[in-house]
Amino acid sequence: MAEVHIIGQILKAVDFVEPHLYCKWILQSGNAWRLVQGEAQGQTPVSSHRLETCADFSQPLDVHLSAAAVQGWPRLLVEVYAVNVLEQSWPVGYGFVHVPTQPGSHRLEINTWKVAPAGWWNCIKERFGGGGAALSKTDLLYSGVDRYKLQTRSSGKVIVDLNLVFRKFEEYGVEFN
Amino acid sequence: MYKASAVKRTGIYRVTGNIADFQMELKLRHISEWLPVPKFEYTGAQAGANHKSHYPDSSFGSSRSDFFIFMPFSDEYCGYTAHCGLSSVSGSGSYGNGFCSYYNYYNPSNGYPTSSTGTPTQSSGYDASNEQSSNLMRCPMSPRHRQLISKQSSLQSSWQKDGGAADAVGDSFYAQNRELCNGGTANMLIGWQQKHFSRQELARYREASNCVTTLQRRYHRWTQDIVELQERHEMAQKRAREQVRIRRKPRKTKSLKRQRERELEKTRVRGQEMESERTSTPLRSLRASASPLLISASSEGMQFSSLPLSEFSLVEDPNFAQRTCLIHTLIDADSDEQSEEALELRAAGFQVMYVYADLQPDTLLITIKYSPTLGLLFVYPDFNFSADDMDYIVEVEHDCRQLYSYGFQSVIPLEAFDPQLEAMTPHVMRPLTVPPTSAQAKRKLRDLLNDPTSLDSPPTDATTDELLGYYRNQRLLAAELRTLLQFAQPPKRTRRVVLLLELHEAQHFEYANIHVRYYIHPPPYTILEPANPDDPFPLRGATQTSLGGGAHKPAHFSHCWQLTLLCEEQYDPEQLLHIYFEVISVDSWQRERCEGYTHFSCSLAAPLPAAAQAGQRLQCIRPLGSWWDAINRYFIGGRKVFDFVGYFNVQQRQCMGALHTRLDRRPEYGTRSTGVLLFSVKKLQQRSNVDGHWLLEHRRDGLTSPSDLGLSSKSTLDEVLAAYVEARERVETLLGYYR
Repeated sequence: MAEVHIIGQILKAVDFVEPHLYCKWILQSGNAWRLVQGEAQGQTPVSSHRLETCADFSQPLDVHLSAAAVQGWPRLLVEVYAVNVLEQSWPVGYGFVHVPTQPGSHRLEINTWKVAPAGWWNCIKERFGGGGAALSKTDLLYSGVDRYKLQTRSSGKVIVDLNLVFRKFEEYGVEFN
Repeated sequence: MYKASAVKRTGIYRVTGNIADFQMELKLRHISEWLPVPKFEYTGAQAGANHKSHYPDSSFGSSRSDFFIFMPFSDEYCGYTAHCGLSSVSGSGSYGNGFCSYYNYYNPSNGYPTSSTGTPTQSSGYDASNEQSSNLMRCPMSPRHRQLISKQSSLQSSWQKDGGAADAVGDSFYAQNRELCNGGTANMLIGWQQKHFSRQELARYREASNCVTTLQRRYHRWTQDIVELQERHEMAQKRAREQVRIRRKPRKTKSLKRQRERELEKTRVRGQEMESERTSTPLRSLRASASPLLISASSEGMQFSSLPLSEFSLVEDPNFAQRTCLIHTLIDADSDEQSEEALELRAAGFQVMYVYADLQPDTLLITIKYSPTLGLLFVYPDFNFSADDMDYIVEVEHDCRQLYSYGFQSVIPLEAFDPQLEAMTPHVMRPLTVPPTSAQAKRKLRDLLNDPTSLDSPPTDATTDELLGYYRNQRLLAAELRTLLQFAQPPKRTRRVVLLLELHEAQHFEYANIHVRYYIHPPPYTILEPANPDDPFPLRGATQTSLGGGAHKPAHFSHCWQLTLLCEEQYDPEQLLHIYFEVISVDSWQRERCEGYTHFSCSLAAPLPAAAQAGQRLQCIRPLGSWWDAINRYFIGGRKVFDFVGYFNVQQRQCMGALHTRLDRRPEYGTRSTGVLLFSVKKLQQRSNVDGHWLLEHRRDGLTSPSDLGLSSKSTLDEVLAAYVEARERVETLLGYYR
């Protein structure tokens, strides 16, 4: 089987309105992919920056996957959460990106969005009391023809550095171009 | 003393090398036939009691042993060749297993009815050659040789009849397997998953019109070798018969008589030379024993006068088993003809191979199954120590009972698998070494695959050895996970192209609250492999709506999707994949407005441009329209029907005679720029690789690099030739030239 080593870090989250952020991440792939070693999901600590609108995470990633097919190429899903002084947290950014198909070093910028509050009351509640709408099912992130009915707002970006090592793909006739 | 068949057990071996290198040598020979006699006609003495001493171990002769006269078969008893012109059926070397075969004969005076495998003119034959019969009672001989002798007198007058005498005998089996019935040993070297055809398969596949699929055409090609072998053998037989006819022509003149005497003298000298060569060279002697009539034909050619031509073989043929399709195999490729048991085994992950002998009926000799997951080879019955041992006995019941012995051994050394020893080895992972036929083991294995963390954690008070074993098991589980699954290959003669599409953001549109809809038009001769089979519209989709984004603020979409296409052979690389984007804004009154259209196209075969992989900004446009359209858009909204797919398809417009140029002043072709989309695409393609299947079987050997596996990126000459032959067949099939 072919193998993929994903080594890198979730560097930081930028351009978010909320000051205190943490990030949950999940590495998703198809059924023909197996996790050999490492953690396929995790969570960063809460981070904030005193001077800039960013939160540095530096969360290391070290995942070893084995693939039995090229279908279901892995993608990295990030969920950025904000935390207030009452230790309440709510999602302020969803985003995901495909793992690049070229080995080597990559810097990815994941544009995120959040669910738009439905109605003025939710807007006031989100602005002053904290908290916001969250997706009950994460499959809404990437499925559905009628997805345009999901109303969102643009949020910040998550910067991810990845170093990729591919192994034995050429033996199975896989070419990356 | 005659022995019963060896006990048949299943041998389990661990394959440490390449299973494709596995070969076994199989030997099969005929031992004896027992002719049945109706019991009510038996009036003789209780012979069975006297012959029990000959069969202390025999379990099959109890019911019939008292019907026959058993004669010890050995070369030492008499010079049988001197009497009937036949050498011994087999040398003592062929009986190295200690067999001492016995042949049974009728008492001719009883006039028992003959069997169909016997001689129809047996009684007259014996009457005409009583002296020979008396010799035969003391001499070892093959049952078929008895038939030859018995028919000598009856067919002597009409021996010029052609080779249809075998049909007169009415024994199709003998006609097809003369060498086997005459005492020859069938030798066959069988490789793993090597196809050997039966007679029915040969008749089926030798006709090209019956072969439709690739496998059948391949079989047809392979059968041509056997057909050629048969034709060559037939020609050699024909030439030999003609030579004998020439020798037997009457010579009338004195000169011809002298010439004939000279020829006979030469023949005798040649015969003596061959006889001396036969006695001095063991190999030659062995070959002569496999084809005894050759020696008699050459050294004592005049002895042919008493034999029908159809009953002997003048040409030595060591490969008669292959020519006569005596031994044939059933392999994984013959899934249509396999039994339910074989299909179940294959479903359980085994590779199965059966070896049959066409002894009428087909008799299963060997069953071999191989588990790539476990790396174990199961052989039933177990290998002999040597193929020459021929420990296993096959008993075929016709109207007479035929006994055959066979033996087989592996050519490559195999390591015997001892389950007890494996159980004592601590580093072996128990769930993965349990045979997958066990439902419980399969379930446990599946659980482990689905959740690798389900291995029990080491206890808090675990010792050092337990901790080491735990982490060793974890490492081995990871290795098994790497090797257990097969890498999916695209179908033959196709290429799989996977596109990873991402729509990052959109900005600079007139109105906010936008979303993007996309439509994908794959090129011809491509097949879609939907990632989600339940998706009713795999070639179109939409992003979420970004409130407040798209105008002055960017609308973040982060919309990723994957598109998998199979490109057929007919796919033209110049035909592009087209993706059409339509940007739509929705206002607070839920009125939709078209914000722009854009388009992306790429070839599935050529490499993508670097800009497309890094992120390409696609400029959107929308129809300019008239002033009335602008007022309508501002106050009312709504989308105007616009064939943007046809607009972007320049070739279609050219075909329709509506050539699109930038200088076209017609308002219906006027557009204005709107916003931009940030879009990126990544591509990977997979060609069909025949080595992929082979790789899995070698992972367990600890071979990791392609060089260790004997693989290289370069193709071998055999692969090139095989690819050439297959490509030529496909071309011939396409052009209708295939015979």
